Amino acid sequence: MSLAHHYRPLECERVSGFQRIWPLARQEMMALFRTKWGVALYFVCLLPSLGRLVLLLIMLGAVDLGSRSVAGRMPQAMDDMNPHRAAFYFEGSLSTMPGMIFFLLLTSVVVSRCVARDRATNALELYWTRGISPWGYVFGKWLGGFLLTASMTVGMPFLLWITGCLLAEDWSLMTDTFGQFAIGLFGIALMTAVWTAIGTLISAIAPNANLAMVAWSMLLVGSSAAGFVISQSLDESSLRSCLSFWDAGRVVVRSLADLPQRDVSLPGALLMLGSLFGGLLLFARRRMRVVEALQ
Amino acid sequence: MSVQLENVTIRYGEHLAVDDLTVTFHQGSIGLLGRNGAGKSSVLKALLGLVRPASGKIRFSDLPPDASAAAVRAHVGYMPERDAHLPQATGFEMVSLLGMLSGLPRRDAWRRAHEVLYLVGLEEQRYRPVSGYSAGMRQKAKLASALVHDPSVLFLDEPTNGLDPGGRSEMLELVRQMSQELGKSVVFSTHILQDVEAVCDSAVVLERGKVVAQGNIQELTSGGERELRLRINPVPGPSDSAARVLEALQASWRAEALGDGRFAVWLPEDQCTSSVFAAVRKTSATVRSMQLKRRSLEDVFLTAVRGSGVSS
Repeated sequence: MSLAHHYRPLECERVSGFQRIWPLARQEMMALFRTKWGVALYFVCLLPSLGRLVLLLIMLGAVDLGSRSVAGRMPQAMDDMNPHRAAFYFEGSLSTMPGMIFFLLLTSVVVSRCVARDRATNALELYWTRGISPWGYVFGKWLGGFLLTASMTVGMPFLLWITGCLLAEDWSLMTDTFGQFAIGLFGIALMTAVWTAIGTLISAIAPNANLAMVAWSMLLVGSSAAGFVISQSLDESSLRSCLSFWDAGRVVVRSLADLPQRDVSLPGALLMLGSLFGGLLLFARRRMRVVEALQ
Repeated sequence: MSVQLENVTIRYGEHLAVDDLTVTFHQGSIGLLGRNGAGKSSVLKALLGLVRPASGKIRFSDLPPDASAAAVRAHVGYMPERDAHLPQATGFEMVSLLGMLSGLPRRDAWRRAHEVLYLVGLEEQRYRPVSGYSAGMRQKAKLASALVHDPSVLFLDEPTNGLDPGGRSEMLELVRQMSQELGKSVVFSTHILQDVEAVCDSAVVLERGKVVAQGNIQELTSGGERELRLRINPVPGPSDSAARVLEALQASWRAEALGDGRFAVWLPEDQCTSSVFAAVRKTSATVRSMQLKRRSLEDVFLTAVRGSGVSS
């Protein structure tokens, strides 16, 4: 076969910037759905939100179990269970149990492996010899992981809230909760971005995908457990948000949404998140040098 | 498009990979030869803008001197030496995604991925995961990835690595067609000299980061000393005629006895074979056969490396 007869010169305008990164993000976002196990995992991760949906249907009387009147008489301490309060819609994404567990399940498979998996198959050499920089590549990977995770942490609360607004007797649920819900949703999106960025940086540092997964899981669960144990033993509850980055994110979101919380330290939480992110970024800078991938 | 390196030095920390290299890769196919660690891959990485030279300049004839690394990579296709693929991706997905990362709009990248996969002979395997490909198919997938954005220069780093004889000859044929039929400049980095002889017009030999030989392959293999293989009829008598013939040959040229009346003589390019006949005749012996041995690229390479003074 002669190539000259089949080869056509390329005649098209080249795109630049974000348009080059987006295909990478889209590929990363859809990677989970390539296998039936991935699809199953994603739907398992939606279970807490589906549980909340059932609760919402019951509390708002769509499923009549006589609970409609209960929602109106709930004490403030139970706002997390009251669909007339914005906290009801966030809590599924922010709670340690089950929110963090399902977040961990999804991100350990998608986010924490993204760069390390490419390093294992020498794909970095293919990516970085194209028209994107190593940090453009990391950004694309993070964006894909973030969008997938946010579909769970941000998308599901939003759908729940819309459902709640449509099921409520009047528009008062919407008007009463809109402001707090919008800020809270922004906060969750922000924290999802930070958490997935931390996961992506761990993936960029780790020598292989399995180690990245283990490191990410240990950091997420371990810091949360350590924060709980240390704060309990020292009887200093605010320490928890300074030691666990999950709890730190939770404190930030609740502070943004002006939700009531006791014995927490917002500066401590911000410091924790900032120092963890900054530290990982410094390590990742070394590993993301082009020569690292090409040796 | 031609590529020119002027006094390029590349360092990795304390290690000097390329030392004051000046070379021009003209249009056509050029073999970049050298032993492991000679600096071939470093040169390719510098050309791709992946490694910044400590000093010197790299110029692409069709690009402005201050062109960014991204602009350079739009005109350059690179096939890495190591096995590399995107996890889980099929051949089509890998090639089209890499095309999009090179700046092709999605539709063009898809169309182009189908075309180049057909060209390299992977049209029937394009929807299979690359992780399940054979070594030869993976090499072809990498070649298709290097071609997808229609570069004018191709840097191929050990493209025949790990291929069986059939796969190797297919790959070499593809490389030859790319340079001769599609008019692409191909820089072919390898340590397999026969591959370069098969597809390249010229060669550059590197040793410890320096050019020790370069030029057109025909000129390289025809230049310098020629090796003559002689066989003589021994002269009957008490004296050792072989020793006398060797003495006579060594008086004028570099020569050695190979036993059984056979000799090797290295004749300078400007001298003709009749002078050897004359020298043998003086010893009363007669030449039974004479064979002019063609210099191979391997001879050129070994001579250049040994004579460079930089070899270990």
